[in-house]
Amino acid sequence: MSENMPRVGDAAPAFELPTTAGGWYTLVDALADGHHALLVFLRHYG
Amino acid sequence: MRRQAAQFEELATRVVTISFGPASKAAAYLEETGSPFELLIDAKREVYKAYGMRHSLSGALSLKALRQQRELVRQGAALHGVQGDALQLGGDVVVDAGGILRLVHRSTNPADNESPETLLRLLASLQRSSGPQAADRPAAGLP
Repeated sequence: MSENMPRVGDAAPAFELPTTAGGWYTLVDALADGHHALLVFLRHYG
Repeated sequence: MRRQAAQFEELATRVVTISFGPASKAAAYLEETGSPFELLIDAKREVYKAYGMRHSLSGALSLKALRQQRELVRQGAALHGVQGDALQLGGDVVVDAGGILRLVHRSTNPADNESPETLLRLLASLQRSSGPQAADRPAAGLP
């Protein structure tokens, strides 16, 4: 595991990704209004 | 985890799933799993890398993972083959409202996921500590 990997207590890396619904997800926007974010990274669809 | 969707919502948590698989397969995945969560496509796996998700031959082919796969088949689950990189592993990340990482679980094998109970406990704790003023706080951990 690289020393550069983010750890608990670090700032979350900001990102923006397309959604399958045709929109865009931005982490900053997801955290608006006092919301937390749970990111579930899938292995693959199989 | 889809069974706890309402509980995550009550804890002011927005849940998203992230995949690097082809977008063309996403609809079938959502239909089959019944996932109520938004699905994001990270085709280049840039976010996987930014969050340090593992890429491992030994992890991907672990005995535990193969047993779990066999059990799913026994229960009638459909398999679609590997879509993309078979060695890429996933994980679970909790980011609080201030943009700070509160949990980073990097799977060591495909069967290694953080339990919904653990995630809900952590989020309940964050919610208790954030209080009603959380909505006014800037996302300090993010640019």
